Amino acid sequence: MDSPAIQTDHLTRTYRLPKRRWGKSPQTDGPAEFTALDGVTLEVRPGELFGLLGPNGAGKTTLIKILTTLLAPTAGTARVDGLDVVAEADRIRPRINMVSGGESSGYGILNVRENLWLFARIYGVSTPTAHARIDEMLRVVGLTEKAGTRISHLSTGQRQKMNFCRGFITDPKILFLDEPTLGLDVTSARAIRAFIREWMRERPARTILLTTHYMAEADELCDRLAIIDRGKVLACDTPGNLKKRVQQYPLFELSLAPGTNGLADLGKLPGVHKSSTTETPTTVELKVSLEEEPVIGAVVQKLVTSGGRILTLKKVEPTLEDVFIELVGHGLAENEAGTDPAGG
Amino acid sequence: MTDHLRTLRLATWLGWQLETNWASPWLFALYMFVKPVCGSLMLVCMFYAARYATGGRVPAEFLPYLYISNACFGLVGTVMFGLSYAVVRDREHYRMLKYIYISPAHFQTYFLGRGLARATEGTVGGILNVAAGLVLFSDMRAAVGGDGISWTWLAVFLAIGSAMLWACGMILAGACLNMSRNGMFLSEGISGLVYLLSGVVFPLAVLPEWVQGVSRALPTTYWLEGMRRALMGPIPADAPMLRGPLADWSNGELAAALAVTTAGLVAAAQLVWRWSERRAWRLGKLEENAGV
Repeated sequence: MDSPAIQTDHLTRTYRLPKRRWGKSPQTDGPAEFTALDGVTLEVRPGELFGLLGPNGAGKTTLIKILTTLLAPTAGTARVDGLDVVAEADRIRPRINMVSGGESSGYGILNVRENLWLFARIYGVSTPTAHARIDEMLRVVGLTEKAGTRISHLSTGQRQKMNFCRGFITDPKILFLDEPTLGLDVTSARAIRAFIREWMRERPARTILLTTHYMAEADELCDRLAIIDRGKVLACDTPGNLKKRVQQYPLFELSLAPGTNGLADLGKLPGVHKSSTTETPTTVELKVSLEEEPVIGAVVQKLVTSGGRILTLKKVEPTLEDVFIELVGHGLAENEAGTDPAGG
Repeated sequence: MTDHLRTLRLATWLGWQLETNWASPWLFALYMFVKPVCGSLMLVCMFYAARYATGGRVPAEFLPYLYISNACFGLVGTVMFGLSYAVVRDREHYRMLKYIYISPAHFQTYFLGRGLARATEGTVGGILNVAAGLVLFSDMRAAVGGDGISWTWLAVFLAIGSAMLWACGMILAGACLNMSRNGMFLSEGISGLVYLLSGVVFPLAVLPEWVQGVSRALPTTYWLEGMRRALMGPIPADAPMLRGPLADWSNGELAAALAVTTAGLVAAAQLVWRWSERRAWRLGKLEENAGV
């Protein structure tokens, strides 16, 4: 069996907080250290598109920095493609690449093609291959016409797209995508997600570790994902299995015309786990959770025979947001305070 | 080895693009000429002012001395300051240092390449500077090549000097890896101190005894002395102000002193760079942005 593409074992990273500065009072009331990663143990299989989902300050970016050999771990171990990030960093680097979203990096005085060519060459890609890959990637992100434009003349979003290309043109075995679609318009983000899927399909040995704020993106792309908060992994599974955790019973929502009878008796039907109603000025909203999905037929029959009129009926699927709230105790947007010094 | 050469070639190309691509070729050529020449002309003005104020007691030989010293020191400043500037600019302005670091590029070789681009710029500036001096001042024409330029010694001092400049630059660049954007001020300050202590403007003979001791520990002192001799020949016996503690040394002794101090500096640079790089990696400084 292949060794894991990425493996961490009780990986911990702490940052020392700044000491006294000139003209400012010393920090005496707070801790001297900040723990960005707290004993993270993870395993990503080769060929997997693995997601890390968590709020700002959860430790996602810190984990990526350690795995890409940019930052030292404080304790624990991390291996990428079977190699230790501390002792074998030089051997890891040719096999990986990283894209950080939401930043406008790039040698502004070079044009888009020159920037990408430079990085392709640094990774040992031949010039003809580099140009072919650059053309392909620029087409994917819609930057073909900007190939000869200086980076300093690009918008932030265009720079971000160029950086996205930079990650792929070296054809890494393991790619780290840190919020790759952050701040991009809907169309571009969709094109990028489609490309990521295609890129993974093209060669099954490729592995991606993706961090994202966007639940839908994680749900759409990831084979498995870990939910991380305050430096700890709270859960790790496939999106489907994670969602099953928060919804044991199939849930249906029905909109009924006012005046429907027999709602109180629904709970007594065999196979109905729970039901609840909410009245609005124009409809009655009914939620029923069932022990098994086919029981919905009996529910509908009961409502119809009671003289009720069903306006709409839909099955409610749990979202990763529900999973996240269940595990973390709050939504993603509610925890913007307390970000770690590494930015994530 | 191939990887190192590729890194070196690409980093030099990048450095040259970053240094030269900001203006049209003509404007850049003008900048390359005006910047060093104006600096030297300021010193020439100070020389004439001092000569006037002392009633001619500042010897005429002092003009080519300080002109050549200053032109050569341009290379020291460009490389020493340039490597620190590359660290700060890549990290804080272009925000690309982290991508270079995690790439297969050899980090130290990358900065060697960036230094080479700066050295090329400094060398061209120095040549233009000396050429302008030769055109403008008869004292310069009389001094430079009076006994013929010693091309062999020029090559020797340039070769050892290159290693010395690179080592100085790497020490300062290593320090900058662990400092914020303001680390550049450190490079500027040290560059100024070396300017004073290496006998660029003030010959060693006029410095206090204890300062001369410090000067003799600096490889830049030997390098500048060697460069002056290669270009202007031995120091005239009738110019006591210019005859410092190195005046009676042979060129070979000077080159040996330069080689020994440079070897020490290169070893120190390796230690400092490795320690600095490791520390920056440990503390997360490789992508720290002061946001200044």
